[in-house]
Amino acid sequence: MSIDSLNTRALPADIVRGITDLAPLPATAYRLMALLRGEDESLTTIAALLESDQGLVASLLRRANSARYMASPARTALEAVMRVGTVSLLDLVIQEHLRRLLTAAPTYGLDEHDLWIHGAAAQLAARALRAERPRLQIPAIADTAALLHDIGKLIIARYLKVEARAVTAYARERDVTWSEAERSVLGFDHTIIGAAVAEHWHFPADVTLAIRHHHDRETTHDSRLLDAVMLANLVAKTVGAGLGAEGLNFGVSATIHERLSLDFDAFARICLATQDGLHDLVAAAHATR
Amino acid sequence: MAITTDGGLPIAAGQDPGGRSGARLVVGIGELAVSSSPDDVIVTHALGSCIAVCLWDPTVRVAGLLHFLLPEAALNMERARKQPATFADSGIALLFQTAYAQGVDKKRCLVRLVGGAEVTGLLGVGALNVGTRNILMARQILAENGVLVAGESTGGTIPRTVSVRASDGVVEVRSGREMVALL
Repeated sequence: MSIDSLNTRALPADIVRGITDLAPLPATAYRLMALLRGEDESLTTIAALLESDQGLVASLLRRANSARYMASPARTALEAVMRVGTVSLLDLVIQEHLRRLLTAAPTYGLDEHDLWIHGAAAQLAARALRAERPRLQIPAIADTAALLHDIGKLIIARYLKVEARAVTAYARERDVTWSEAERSVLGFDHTIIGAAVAEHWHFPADVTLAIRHHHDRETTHDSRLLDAVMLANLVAKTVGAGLGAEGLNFGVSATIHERLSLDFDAFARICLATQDGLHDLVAAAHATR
Repeated sequence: MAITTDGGLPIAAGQDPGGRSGARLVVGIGELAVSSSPDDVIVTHALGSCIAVCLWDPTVRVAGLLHFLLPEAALNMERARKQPATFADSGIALLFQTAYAQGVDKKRCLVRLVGGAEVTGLLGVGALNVGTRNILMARQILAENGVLVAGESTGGTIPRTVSVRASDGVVEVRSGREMVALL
């Protein structure tokens, strides 16, 4: 899936331009993804690249010196990188990048905060799922994919002025999910646009696939990462993060719990861990204002 | 007088937050508030599968609202001790204990339930049915304790915002800009 492989004639020119003009991810993100793919990259080089972004270094040091990584304080970017690890650093780099792109999304009944909190909740849920089911060996980049899964909403909200009411009314009248209504009203949905963004940002193919198919009710893809992102979205909505106009009217596979070996108690534990993490995140965000 | 919980314990008893009257008391997930100040409105947002238990005693004119996330404290006893309002069983008990301190009698109480939505296509998938389990647990606890459920706006897939007025116990349910129910 890419913006080239999409039938771009079916997309409004503003949306196509919105994707192609999107600021590229910082070089650090690409280096970190290469490191995760097992390519030869050095943490020293990555730390040096980070130094040019003081806002990011401040966030990194804050995370490295949080209670979770109890030890003597990290003083340099390199010490902080070594402490938090590659995946956590990639999450942080992308979080900072997204924060700069965020906008209100009235098409979805979401304000700027809601959009951010939904992505953050999904990311926490993916992390909680990996901790709950380590034997499934869900790739760590699932956290990043979960963070990004609704990036398409951001593009649509930025470049297309559509009232949530139009999509909500269609969904209600035809008894279809929000994504299905989006496709009928707009001609595409946020998963298609999100996948094109992920491709534009050169994310691995399985991340793009997870973003594209996270609302599939019948899935033909055998991908742990897709399963994790689908569940992460469900958990984020269950804890009330970014319900928006869509509410709980979204597509999800009815066998997702079987593929992830989850009973109700395990699902509830993931919800609680996610809500705990969100509470800390919101408190930290207020503290730094 | 308003009592609210943040993290499960009453933090402001005997005074409206900030010492003002006519407060808008916002209750988050796993929190509750009880008020006898006639100008107060207790509000909670982002109700999906969670439930708001809204309470009103017309004799002493006390209103309360609990926003719980999950049905049973047994899912995580440590969390239930720290933040009882997270769960239906420990949360409803705390809501009533807090209300009794303001003269509420459960025999006079009118309770309204709001929320308990379920994801499209997941109804009947027990492992993921938080909304349905929440509704059933709330009804069961209230019935076992002889409390009347005077109205409900539950189920479906819509997100809800709910408010209860301390002056007359009227519960207003909205989804986005739309009024869904007046209970």
